[in-house]
Amino acid sequence: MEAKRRLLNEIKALHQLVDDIDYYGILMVDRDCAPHEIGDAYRRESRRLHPDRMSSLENAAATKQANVIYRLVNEAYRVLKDPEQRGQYDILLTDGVIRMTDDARSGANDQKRANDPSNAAKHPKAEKYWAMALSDWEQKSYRACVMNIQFALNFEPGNEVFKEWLTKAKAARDEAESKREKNPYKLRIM
Amino acid sequence: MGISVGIDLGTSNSVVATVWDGQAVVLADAEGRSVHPSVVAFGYGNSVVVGAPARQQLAYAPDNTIFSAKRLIGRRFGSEEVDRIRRSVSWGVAEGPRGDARVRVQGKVYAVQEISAHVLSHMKTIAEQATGQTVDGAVITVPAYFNDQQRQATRDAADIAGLKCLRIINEPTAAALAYGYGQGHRQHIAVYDLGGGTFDISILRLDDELFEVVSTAGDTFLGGDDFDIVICDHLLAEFKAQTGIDATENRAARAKLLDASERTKRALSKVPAVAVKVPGLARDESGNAVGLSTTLDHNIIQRLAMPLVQRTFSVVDEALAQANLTAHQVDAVLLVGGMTRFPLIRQAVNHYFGKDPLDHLNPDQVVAQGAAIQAWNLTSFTDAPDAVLLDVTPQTLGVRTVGGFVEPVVERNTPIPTSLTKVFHTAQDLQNEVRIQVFQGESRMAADNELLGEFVLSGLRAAPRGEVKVDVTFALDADGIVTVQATDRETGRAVDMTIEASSNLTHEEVEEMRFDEIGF
Repeated sequence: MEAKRRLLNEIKALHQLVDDIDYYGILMVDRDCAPHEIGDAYRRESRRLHPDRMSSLENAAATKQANVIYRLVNEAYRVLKDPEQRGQYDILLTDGVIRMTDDARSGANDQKRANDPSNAAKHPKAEKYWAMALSDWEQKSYRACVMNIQFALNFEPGNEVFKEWLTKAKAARDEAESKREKNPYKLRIM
Repeated sequence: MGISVGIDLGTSNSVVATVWDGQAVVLADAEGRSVHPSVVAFGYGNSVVVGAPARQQLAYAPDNTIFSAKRLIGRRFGSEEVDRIRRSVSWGVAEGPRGDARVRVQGKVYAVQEISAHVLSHMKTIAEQATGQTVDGAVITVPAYFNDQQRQATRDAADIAGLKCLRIINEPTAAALAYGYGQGHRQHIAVYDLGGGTFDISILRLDDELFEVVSTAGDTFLGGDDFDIVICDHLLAEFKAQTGIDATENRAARAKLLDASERTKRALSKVPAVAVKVPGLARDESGNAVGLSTTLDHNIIQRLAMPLVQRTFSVVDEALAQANLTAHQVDAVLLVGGMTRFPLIRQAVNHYFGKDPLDHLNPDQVVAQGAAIQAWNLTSFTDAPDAVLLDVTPQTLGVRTVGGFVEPVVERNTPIPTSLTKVFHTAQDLQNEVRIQVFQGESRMAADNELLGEFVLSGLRAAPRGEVKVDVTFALDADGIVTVQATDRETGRAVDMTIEASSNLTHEEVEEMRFDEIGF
């Protein structure tokens, strides 16, 4: 009975926070926790906060509050247990968005698109070389990649994404070539 | 203060249990019976008999004796399912005022809820006589695949019987509670539930006192009754072969053969062959009464039943896929429902899961015991949780969109309580209102699903189509009550609706049907 009363107070307090608490907060886990800890936390908090635990008190208001809180527990688990959704949510969190609504999700997709280099080129000719550069990168042809980025930069000298990738591609090319020189079999082939 | 009970309101049989001294015990009637036929017999005047005495009446007063009424609950008159039921029962089916299927007896029409209410009332009386206490509330079980309408109809039946319904829970879930209660299990279990009228499979994750339903699937038209029907059809064919008389349309003969089929099936779960003798089935041309005398053995039954058994495993496939498990990852298999006593079923289960099903529990009683545990859990004041049940939605909930399609908002097997929102856009230019029609079911087409309710959000800004956005939020509570809210994003105006009066009875009708205290 004493524990039920304590739970009642806890539910009341938590209900006031429900619009301000993020998914990690409601499950009481760290933001960098391992995937298996999410499930453990869900089961731990379910034991504590499931509305049925309030049922015998026949307190309609408290039961309603417990339902509202536990909906958030389920929502948090639904998002955090899925690595892809968790990744999207982590991006949203850095912008201060704490609930993964439909709108927030499409916002996250927009942001993801902004991070996606395939839309970086504006000039049509730069776009052609840029696309080739990205495909070179995929195939690990770093020397060709560097060359194509340099061509693309001729048309858009101020493009920051190009510059960033040029540095990256050069580093990758140099690393690949240094490895190649150390490889006797490859040397023989050349 | 009285007690709370768990009631397994079955298609063929019902059982009542309560938690006593930390144990879930099944309560027996004065004759010591713990399993009671869900049969209601109407006699002369207003007399009603329920349970075993009613079942005895089935053979000689088939028109007045209602069995398997649960199969009709929440169904429309004229639907394919109801036509199938009509062909397999000896009592009459009539159309109710809202197109619902009802029961016709002695020229009077009863809602199915009233028939179920008689069974529930009988269970309540048994519990009160067995314990000497009043029954304050009950957890009632339904097949996992029941939709909201059927669940609500079950609540109505409790209401009519004057019984407070604490919660409706799924039969397989209840069985899992009875199995895992106080055992400290950490495993995945499958509950294979083949009852009188329905087949359900549920996958649960047990973690000590936490019971997490991972997925469920089912077939509302596959159960022990179907096995009786295939046996009965076989006997009718046999009778025709022996005597040349076609008794298919003879209701009295059918009722007798159905009864014989059911008893033969039971006997065959214990012995390899059974002699079937049914005298006085029909009269030949010279007016002599002729009967049937034949033998049924396991081989014949296996041949008749195999297609039905195979159907259950395609449903199991579906549930395992949803749970992301293989059959061999399931740690234990629990059998529920009288039909699972059948050796054929046990073999098939063993073959599929690669392990023997558990058999230390009584398949007829576990469901009521589990319901009693949940009833205790919802009413007890003890500090430590005895069992916490994390349940899921039985069927997909969605909103009708343009072209008669349904846009799902809450997918089936979503853990509850939950709240989910989807954004909808206006479909026409200058549209100033939206009609929110809430559907339940797995079809993409609205017409194939069950309409649970509808409401209108008006006062939208006149704008080109697609410009005005409306948020539709479904909120589900632990007791399964659904609230739908539509909000106009621009004005913040909102309309909501609680889906509760979705059974085919109005509140007034339920009031009117409610049993008088003195009548029982």
